[in-house]
Amino acid sequence: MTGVIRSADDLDTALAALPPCPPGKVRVYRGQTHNYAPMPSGLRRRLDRDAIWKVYSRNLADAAGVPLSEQMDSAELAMWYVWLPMLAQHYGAGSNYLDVTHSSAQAVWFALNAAAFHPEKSILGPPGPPSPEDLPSTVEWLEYSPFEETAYFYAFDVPAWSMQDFPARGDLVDLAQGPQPFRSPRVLAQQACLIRADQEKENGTLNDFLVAGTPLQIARPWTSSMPLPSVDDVFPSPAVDSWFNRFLSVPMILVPETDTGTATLRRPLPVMAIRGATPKYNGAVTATESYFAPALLHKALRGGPESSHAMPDVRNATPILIEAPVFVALPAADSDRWNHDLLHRGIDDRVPFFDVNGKECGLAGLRDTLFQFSTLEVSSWSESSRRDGTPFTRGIRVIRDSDEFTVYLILQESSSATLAAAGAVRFRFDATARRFVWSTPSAPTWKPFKELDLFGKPFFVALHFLRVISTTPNAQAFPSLFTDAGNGYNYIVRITAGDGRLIHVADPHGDADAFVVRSVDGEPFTHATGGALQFQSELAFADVSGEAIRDAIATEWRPAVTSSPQRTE
Amino acid sequence: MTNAEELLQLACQRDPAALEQFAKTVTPSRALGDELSQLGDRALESGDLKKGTSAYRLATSVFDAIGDGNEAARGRFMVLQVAFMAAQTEDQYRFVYDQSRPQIERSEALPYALRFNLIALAADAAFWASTVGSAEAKLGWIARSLDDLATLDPAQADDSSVARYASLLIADLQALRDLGLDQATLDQAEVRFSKAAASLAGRQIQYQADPEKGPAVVAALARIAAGQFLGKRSPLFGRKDASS
Repeated sequence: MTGVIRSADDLDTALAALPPCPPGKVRVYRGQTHNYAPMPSGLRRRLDRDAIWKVYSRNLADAAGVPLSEQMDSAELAMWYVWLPMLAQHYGAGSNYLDVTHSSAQAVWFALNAAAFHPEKSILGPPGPPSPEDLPSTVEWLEYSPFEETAYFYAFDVPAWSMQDFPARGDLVDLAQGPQPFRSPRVLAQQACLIRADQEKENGTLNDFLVAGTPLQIARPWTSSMPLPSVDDVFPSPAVDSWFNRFLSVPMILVPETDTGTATLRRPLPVMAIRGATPKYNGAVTATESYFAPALLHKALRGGPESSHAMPDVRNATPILIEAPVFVALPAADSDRWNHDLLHRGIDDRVPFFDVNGKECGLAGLRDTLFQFSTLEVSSWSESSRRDGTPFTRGIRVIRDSDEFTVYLILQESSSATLAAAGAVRFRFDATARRFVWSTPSAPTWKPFKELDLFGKPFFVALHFLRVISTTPNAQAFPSLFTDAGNGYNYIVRITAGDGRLIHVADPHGDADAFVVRSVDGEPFTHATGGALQFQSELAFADVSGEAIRDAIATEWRPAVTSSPQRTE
Repeated sequence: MTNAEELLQLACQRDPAALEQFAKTVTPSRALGDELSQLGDRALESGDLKKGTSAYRLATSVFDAIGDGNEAARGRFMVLQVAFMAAQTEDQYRFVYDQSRPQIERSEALPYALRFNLIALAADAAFWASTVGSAEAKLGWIARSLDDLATLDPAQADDSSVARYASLLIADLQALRDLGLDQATLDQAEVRFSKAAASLAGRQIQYQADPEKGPAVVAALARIAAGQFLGKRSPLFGRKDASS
């Protein structure tokens, strides 16, 4: 059939005229407003905050009953390569899979409705009159509106993924056949499937799987015995779609606006806030807009009853906001993957900081720092029953004096706006034991690190970030990869030298500026991606000589691209 | 008789009155008293409450005999502590609470740490009586427990005593809240402890059996200090004004 199709009956006729689906393949559909080569969104552009999305959605899956596996077995591999990208494709910034559907009606809907983002500014704060705690926020609504030009309807014949191993290019993942809890109301409503793409082949497109004779051209006005579904039908409300609710319910955080550098509340995940067709739907989405007070620890800690925060004046500390969930990605404090000898060195006294556009603005001190951890460290925001009585570590103050660190933990129950400071705990490196030892003012005897469970991980996270933002070349204090070499281990250790940059964030009220840690590409820092040292040792990484690694960096590592036998890229 | 184990064995075969008399006649000495106390500590660690009670009773008799009031008071405290550990019913907790009263009245001259532990024990017994007793008696027991805690200065106590005090205070206030009292009453109860809670800011509070509990207790104390434990304000602030 040629010409523009304007009815479901004509579309059925056109589909019946297409070549039959070959044996062993499945026919699926896709609608687009423009005839660009069908290509996953993840291949068309950079995946915003992809690592953060995956880590956080893995935490959510864990909370939803799919425990994180220590082993990268086939189920865990499928999680990272299929089901987490599925969540990103349907709720977030996209993936390396192409959205398709079993339903020709759903494909028509996506062809005849154009999506566009519309920012909306509002104020978030405590109920009642204007308050010093009021903060500006921006929400990027994704709005669908009738597309009045000619649109395109595609059909693909693709093999069904066996649910074993890893989907090959062109394999169809039928989401209705996926494991729970991933058969979400949205994927069921859309009868959604995904086709695996590969950036290296066919320029990332899936044209070679297209059914001959497609795309068909379709356009409004559309005639059908069944009216086109509403937005609310295609994207079920967060009131019924728990995944939608989980992603939306993460409290907003202050991030620097790219034009002014002034902080505005935004969602920390690139979740699509769908603008629905009814006030009830939009009310359910808007109800998830919130921030977790206090939004800025350093600002909250400098006021209020000093007696409840028994630590030196917080105005002396450099406030650093960590945007990514990092605790789950870093080894446990008692793991022998942490090399304490590396961890306690290589921290600059001062580092340059930059504006949000990358222009160097000055120097920030690192001898006294207050880290504020991401609200993405908590995965239960959507479950009100779990908000009560669960304290979490909101931050850590690390004061460095010579070889000693004085540390305060900042704690907050998730049902209260009150902060508590626990400490001080002092740490120093014991060269004989190759481990940190610790003491407190009331118990000044130095004790082994392993006896301190509460402070360990936050302290190591802080030291890790202090080293990452230092311009001194540092080996990360844990291996990025290690394999058993029979009589020892092969280690690959990333080298960082200012890989994380302090970006200045202006307080919207003008009196409590802070910094975030971003990669050179401007994304929230999650992990080092530069050069690495590779070596073998029969020792656990914790017992490897930090001196030897530092020597190797000094002699073999160069910040430029010159190659070295010991260096991998 | 120099061996505490043998002495205990002998004493256990007699009636309680006789064993105290016995202890007074066997050339009491501080070393023997200490040994009996340690025997009680070990028995407690191994979960043998009966043996622990006997050992502490005997130790108390020995220290009474040699005129060491502090150690004798510690022995009596430990006897009550063991009774507390064994208690399961309201009557058994009531027994501990009642038995502690005369000791508390006489405790002004004792070292503060011992007095603190004695009062905290009574408060603990009252709290647990509230959990297993009748609904009508619940408020009365919690009020007794809080009354006892209000006489204490936790800033002067050692870490383990503070840990007990803090978790008990939080449990008492939570129990009070669960009774559904009006906010003014709850506020009054909380304000009574805000200064004590503030005095614990910065203290390391750890629970060996439950490492997760420490931060929860520290955070709850901060809320009590700020008067925000029973009068909640959600920290999740939502949209208040759509400007465009």
